[in-house]
Amino acid sequence: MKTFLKLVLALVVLELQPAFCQTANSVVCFENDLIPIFTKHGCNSGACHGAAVGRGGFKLSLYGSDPAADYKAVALELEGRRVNLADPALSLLLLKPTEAISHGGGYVLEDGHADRQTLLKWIAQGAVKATHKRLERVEVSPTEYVAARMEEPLSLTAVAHYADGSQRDVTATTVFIAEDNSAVEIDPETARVKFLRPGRHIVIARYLSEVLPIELIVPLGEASGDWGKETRTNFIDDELLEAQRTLGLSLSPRADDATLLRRMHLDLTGRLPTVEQLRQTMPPDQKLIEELLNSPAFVEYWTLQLAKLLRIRASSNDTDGANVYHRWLSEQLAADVGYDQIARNLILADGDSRLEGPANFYRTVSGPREQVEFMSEVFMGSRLRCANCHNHPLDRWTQDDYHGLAAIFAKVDAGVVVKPKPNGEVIHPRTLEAAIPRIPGGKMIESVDSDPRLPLANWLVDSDNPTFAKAMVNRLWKSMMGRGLVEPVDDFRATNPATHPELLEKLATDFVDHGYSIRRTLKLIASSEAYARSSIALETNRADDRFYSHAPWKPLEAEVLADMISDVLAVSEQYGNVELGARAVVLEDAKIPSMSLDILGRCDREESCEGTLGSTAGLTQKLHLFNGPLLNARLSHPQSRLNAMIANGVKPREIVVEFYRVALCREPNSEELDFWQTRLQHLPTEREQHSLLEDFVWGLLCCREFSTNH
Amino acid sequence: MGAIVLPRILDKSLIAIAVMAVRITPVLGGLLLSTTDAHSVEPPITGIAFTRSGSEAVACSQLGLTVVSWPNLTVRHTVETSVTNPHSLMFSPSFGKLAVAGGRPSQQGMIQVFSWPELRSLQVLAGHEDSVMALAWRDEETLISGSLDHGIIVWDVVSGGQKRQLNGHARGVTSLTLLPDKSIVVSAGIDQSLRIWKLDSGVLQRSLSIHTQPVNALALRPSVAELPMIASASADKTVRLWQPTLGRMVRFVRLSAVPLDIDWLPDGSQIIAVCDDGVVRWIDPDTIEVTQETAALEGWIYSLRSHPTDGGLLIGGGNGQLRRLVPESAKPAQ
Repeated sequence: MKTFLKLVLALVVLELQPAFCQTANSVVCFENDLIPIFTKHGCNSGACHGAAVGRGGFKLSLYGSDPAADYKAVALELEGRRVNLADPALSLLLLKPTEAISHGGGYVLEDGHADRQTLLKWIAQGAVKATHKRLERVEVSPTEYVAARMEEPLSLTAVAHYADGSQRDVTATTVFIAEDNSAVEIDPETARVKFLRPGRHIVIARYLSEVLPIELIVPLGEASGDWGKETRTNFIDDELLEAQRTLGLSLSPRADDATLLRRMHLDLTGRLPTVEQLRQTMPPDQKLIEELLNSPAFVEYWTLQLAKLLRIRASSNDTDGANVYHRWLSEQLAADVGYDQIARNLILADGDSRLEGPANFYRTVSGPREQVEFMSEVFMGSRLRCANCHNHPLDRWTQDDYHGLAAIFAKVDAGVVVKPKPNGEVIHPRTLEAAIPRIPGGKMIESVDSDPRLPLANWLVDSDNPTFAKAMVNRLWKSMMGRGLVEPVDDFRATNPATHPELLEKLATDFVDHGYSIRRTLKLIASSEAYARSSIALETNRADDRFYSHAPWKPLEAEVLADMISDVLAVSEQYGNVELGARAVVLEDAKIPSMSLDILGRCDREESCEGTLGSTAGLTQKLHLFNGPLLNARLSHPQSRLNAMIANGVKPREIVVEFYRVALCREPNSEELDFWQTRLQHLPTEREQHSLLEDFVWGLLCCREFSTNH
Repeated sequence: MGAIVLPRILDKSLIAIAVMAVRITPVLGGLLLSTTDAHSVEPPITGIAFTRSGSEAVACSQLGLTVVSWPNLTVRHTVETSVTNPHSLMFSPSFGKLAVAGGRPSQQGMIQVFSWPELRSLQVLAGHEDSVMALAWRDEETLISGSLDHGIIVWDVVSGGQKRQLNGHARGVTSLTLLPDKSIVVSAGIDQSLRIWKLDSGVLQRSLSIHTQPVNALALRPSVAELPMIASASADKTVRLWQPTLGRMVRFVRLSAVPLDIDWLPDGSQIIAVCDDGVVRWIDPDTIEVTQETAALEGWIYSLRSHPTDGGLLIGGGNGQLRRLVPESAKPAQ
């Protein structure tokens, strides 16, 4: 057909149709009709043209977050070369995805697919931008669903609601993605769900800028006991039991006293209980929790936790700032200063960083954008960094939020002396102009006279702020329970919902109501029955890794494990030039020379420590632990606990029992005792017995029971 | 004043650039002559060239070539071209030939050379692997083309063969201009750089990388006895002035919109930039200030040429819009 005739026909089509977004035979809207097609076929994903720099010279906004920019890219850029208005079927926009010509992204759209016809129709209608309907919201159904069995059929639907009151079924162009596609399979054409394994599964529904989570549950077990009779200490147990009941999970029994005592000591003070404490404080109770929370060891250990969160470290061989910062933090914890006040002091910090601890908050990372990412992860539990190049694809944060917050931090001179810098600014990459200071998700800060950090600090610690308290209690929860209610702990977003949202809400409310006291929340968790559960999984709850039916085996941090090894061996580790005998958890310099801490996998705090797996990670570390001088040299040290006991004539059996108490905080059972006794008795010389005892201690220190908190 | 909408006429010569009506709208310092229907959906006008006398102009779009009279923009005739998706057109130095460039996107770049005024096809040059976006005539027999395939080719128009390839741009080439002595060609492209090439040897003399976004257009300052000066327009919203033989950026002006094409007035006294907000901006090259802004078209203005003698401008944009713009200073006395 001649070109002009095609055009005329296209124009006739245009003139005959009412100006509505696509229904049958209507005008195709770029925003409402085409962008969902791009998303459905992956064109605007981060791996394709939605990448920050685009792909193959063609850049779309990530998941269609910027329709205006997308329209320019599709219809206007390079003199409109991607659409051929004279012969729509020859448009690059069609030839590429149907692979009529070479396409780096492959064959993503079949020739006969309805979406191709929609693209073609849009071009034939003139490739215009006009949007006739403004999307107000998308409603997905169901949003929560508990299936009785794996085979239960389920179809997802999505309905778009427009500002004019109309609605449209957009299931066909809504993308449903299972967070774990080994658990749930969704047919992209029909939106039918197929469960592949039981558990709680999250499906993300995406239509235009709307991203909604769908929670699907298939019970993990068939437990049907009398849930009302389960012991409950506080609301934590109420909430967890409710979820466990829904999932049909069996519950492991309460841990024995010795295990629980060790767990509490390690969680609250980072230390093993001494043999004396083991004897005195059975059973572990509220009194013990109070004692531990009020001990100097608590302050030391939790100062380490906060120091890692805030990435306190020396820079450029200048340790003064890190030391003063570390001490300030320790003072805050010792005085039980509210976490809101700590955060506020950090946000508003000024002064000489060698003298004022909080001022170092602005010297942790370099540059206002990096400060945005650091601050948002620490205090908001959100990865705002995604919004640097584009609106966050899975959250509400926009590029304006990111660069608006950066504009606030640009007004801080982060030199050795931290002070306001009223003329500081950052360039917004989209507008190429200075970004306007802005509270995330909120209003612009227009005033040029006052420090914009003040409204930021007020907003951050406001009790109505949904992110601040939740981010912290989630971290405290993870520290005690092994897994955050939201994981990762710095990735709060609507599309990454908490496993127990009501529990998170109640913990946050309690945190706020009690002056943001870290001790209070830790006590609440440590007092719960859920915390006290055994780490020994039952056959019927083994598959559970997030509903707390049994306690986790938590890897220990490098500093804690190093101290435990020193305590068990009774031989101190030398850390740099610090006086011999200093504990690793109190070191102010995170980079102090120490091969032991390196081997055990310490976090150097250059980046977030929250992804650090802990001391038991990595084959190299294991091999060092097994074969290297970390254990072997100190095992044979003349003043070691083992050599001192042998020198004092302690019998081998007593040595075995003592080391079980010191390292594992329990008595050896009869099988274990028999094992070691039998082997020791068969050795003819003291030298050989000594050697076996060294092997025994080495074995204890390398075993999982020692190197984890469980 | 609203646009006049006339019924569509199934006449190929008229629909080619959708000349539906002429409306005259007073604008800042001149008259605006519209040749389009506000509701049409025609392809954009991507290239414009004036004939030697200036009594006619040629415009190109996906619908082909259209020859219009000047100044009243009456369509004289339309011509189909074997170049699909044309992006650029240029008369040879003698005005005896007209080259039209474009091609099938991501497949093949193509240039068709016509005789002028007969518009008889003389040669088709095919060698690029993507659309040809820019042209520059060195002489009657030598044509230079820049393509989105990243390459530049120097063609022998008579034989249709390639004389040389200039490879160096990391991304597509969007604009070319020859310096007055015809021995140096300057190219610019999506890789944000200007590159200066010795035409005879093909040696890349220097790269100028100050723009922070793709460069959309280049234009050589005419009629100035000093060192050659080039203006570049970029998606970074700047127009920069360069002395390419020295490799020096002389000065720049930041605009409030993206300039898509630029040209100089024939006396070199003003740079004209047409932008993606539909505004034409006049820039004083010495003070580097925007001296006048005129809202001229709806949407993006892709192409621009200043008339060789009368001070008028011809601009082409989206939706097949082709307009004459007469600055205040060029209006005849009442």
